[in-house]
Amino acid sequence: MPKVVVIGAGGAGCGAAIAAAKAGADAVLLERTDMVFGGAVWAGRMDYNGKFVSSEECKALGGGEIFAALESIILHHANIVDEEFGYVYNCPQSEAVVRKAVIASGVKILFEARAVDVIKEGDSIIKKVILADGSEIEGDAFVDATGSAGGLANCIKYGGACVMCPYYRCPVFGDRVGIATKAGAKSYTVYRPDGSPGTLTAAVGIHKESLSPELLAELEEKGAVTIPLPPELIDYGRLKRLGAVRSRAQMENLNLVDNGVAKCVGSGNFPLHDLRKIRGFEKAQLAYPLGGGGGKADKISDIDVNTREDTLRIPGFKNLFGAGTKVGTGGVSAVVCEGYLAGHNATRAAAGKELLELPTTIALGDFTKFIGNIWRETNAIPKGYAFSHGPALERLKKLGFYTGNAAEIHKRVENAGLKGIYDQKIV
Amino acid sequence: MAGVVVVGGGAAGCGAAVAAAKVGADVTLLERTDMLFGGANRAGRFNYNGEMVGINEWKALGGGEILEALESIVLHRGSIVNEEHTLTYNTAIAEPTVRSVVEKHKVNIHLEARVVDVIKEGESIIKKVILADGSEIEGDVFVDATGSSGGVSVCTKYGKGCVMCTYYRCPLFGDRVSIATKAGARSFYRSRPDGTPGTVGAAVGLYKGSLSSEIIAKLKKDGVITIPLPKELVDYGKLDLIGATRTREQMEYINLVDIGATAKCVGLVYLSLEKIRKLPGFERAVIEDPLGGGKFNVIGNIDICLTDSSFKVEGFRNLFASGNKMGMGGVAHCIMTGYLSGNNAARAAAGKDPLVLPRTLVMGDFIQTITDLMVKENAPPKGYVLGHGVFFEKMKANGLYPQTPEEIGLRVEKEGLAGILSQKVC
Repeated sequence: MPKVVVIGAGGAGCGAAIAAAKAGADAVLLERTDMVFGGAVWAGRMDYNGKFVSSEECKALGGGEIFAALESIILHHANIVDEEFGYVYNCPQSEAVVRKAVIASGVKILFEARAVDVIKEGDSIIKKVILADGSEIEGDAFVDATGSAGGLANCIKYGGACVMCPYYRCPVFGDRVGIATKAGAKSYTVYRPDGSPGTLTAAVGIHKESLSPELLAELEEKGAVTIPLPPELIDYGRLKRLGAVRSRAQMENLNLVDNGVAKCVGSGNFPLHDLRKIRGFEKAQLAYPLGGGGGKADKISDIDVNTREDTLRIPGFKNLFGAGTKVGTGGVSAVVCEGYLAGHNATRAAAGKELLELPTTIALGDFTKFIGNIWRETNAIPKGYAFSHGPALERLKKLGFYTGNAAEIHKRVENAGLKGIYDQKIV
Repeated sequence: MAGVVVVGGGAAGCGAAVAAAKVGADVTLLERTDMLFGGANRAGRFNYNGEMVGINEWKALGGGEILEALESIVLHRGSIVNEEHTLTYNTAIAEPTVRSVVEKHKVNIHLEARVVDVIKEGESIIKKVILADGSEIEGDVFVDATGSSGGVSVCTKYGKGCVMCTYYRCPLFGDRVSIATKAGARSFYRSRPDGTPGTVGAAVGLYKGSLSSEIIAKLKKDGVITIPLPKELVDYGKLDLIGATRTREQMEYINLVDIGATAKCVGLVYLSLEKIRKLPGFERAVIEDPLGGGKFNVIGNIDICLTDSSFKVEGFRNLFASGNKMGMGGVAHCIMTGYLSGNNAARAAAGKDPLVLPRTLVMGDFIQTITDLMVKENAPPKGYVLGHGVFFEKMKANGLYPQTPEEIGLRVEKEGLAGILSQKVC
């Protein structure tokens, strides 16, 4: 049985490991912390705007396990300004339900197993990864799903300090190490308008119990509350500094979502004393990151990104794939979708089979190729492309992929001959 | 106007600042983070057992502002095993609640002002403290309320790394630096049974939303849930590891308390996430505080100074200490000792004699017992708190527990000390 080793158990890594196991590989998932699902544990918002399309396509392709897990813990069907079709999952329970889905698929998860280096055979084949404790894990194919944030040093150098985010938890569990970069793949960085490397966190979590009772009641009833920001706190410049893609109208409001804590989407990163000037936030206390984003410092991402072929293989390697923020993709739905493709193709590579390229007749195929073309043309990270907002959403609409009708999306995948492809055994 | 500089804005520092300001001193409070109230932002529980007596004495002495602020945000009145009279305040809104008390007393609060060194005159007088940004703050008298935990390096050296606690937040705001130790005061620590310096944090906070809906509903209603631990998870050895004083029986349960921001497991020390999730209702539990709580916990009681019973630091004329820094633990203890250190700092600044509480008061006996033991044992005594253990037993034996607030008020009045902490000294 060919062995696929997935490094990093965030949204992309979980998707990749499940897909590899389903395709018949011996799937091993290496996670440096004691929890799976990484940053997605505290994301919460799913399927808004074009993300509905990507999630449904992935389900139709046979990659539905993680989506089903999240749908089992939906807190609200609710949307913020400029969005539709969204739901919010209960973040505090998301790790456990996703972990269960990963384990049920037959994946072997190794916790507190931090990969720090690779051993290659020649230039293009990865043989093993080396863990922080010195042990070695062999594999036939590898998926780098280690994200783009690197470790503590990046937040200190480019963000002001370690803001103590509850998903990375570098001081406790050690830094993320990009395996593709270690293996010699070229590393790319997104630069902010002022030239500094990396992008900033787009959201902060607030303890629900620190909100005013009126605001809390409204939030728990509606799931999302939009509060106009005082003019002095509006900063459109954030749009260019953020990792996530957001709209201008979203910058003019505090977009508060109940994801199990209370999350300020896109525009909540103020110093505590500014945040407390907003109605209902007079006693607000930050739940995450503990440094409160824009208050004192911010978490930095998009600092160590690798490019990929449209099969999600890393150029120059025969058995190394990338998925999620590691290859420049952001958002829970998108990284999970990408994880499935990477895990599936890693299994194909391990089994010596031809790799799957999704056709442009489905949105995921079109997007993968569209982004790939930008990579190839500009030799830089395609920035600002997500199914939720901006040019990628416009493209979805222009090509007729945008819909809130699941049946239509499933039909499209069926017409492409790909219905349930991730369910098929490769080996 | 006499200038008192309080270093550290935790429970003791807030108490010291309010106490000094209300008796007429010009007070500057220096806090390294963006929030006051330090570790007490995640404590939540006070007033249980003998604490109730100390707290009522303190109110009668005229030092009730912060304690009453916490009473104004009480979430629940439920008690865990071996405790009664417990009040649980809403930790999610404790910081602004306490901050408003400090602000009301016209304390000059400097946030993100981390003290890193001192300038002395001779050996026994502090002139200034130096902040991390290089600026200097002068004062007539200083209070060291910087706690006993030091910084990340302490948790890394004596724990298993920085576990990312939600109150210290060292990676973000920089390490705690004790001015008493910087000024040359002797530094003491408590050790664990294997001789390792420092004690371990005694609780972990879980995200409430990660618990089963039955547990959440019961917590919301009762405030407290007591769940017997499976035998293989009971570990009495933890009693000697932790900084807080707990009973053997408390080690046999998960004592889950709704403190607002989180559901706090009292006395449950660094059980791995996997083990916690084996308990019914905890199948999806996620640890919030500290973020590395499944791996270990914070280290405390590592840099403690010796004071006399007026809280003046040994060897110094104008330096006082309170709270964890002089070996105290628990929110109420820190607030109350903070008050006395602030009151005495104001007295020192005005050239007045210090206030020493008599042994006829529970708080006077408590403070003198600890400061005497510290001299005798040359180490901070373990297990001296109002709520459990030997001192609580002594209170009961002396007929001082239980008592009504009226009885306690009369006792304070009989000593001629009613409202003493409210009388202007400068």
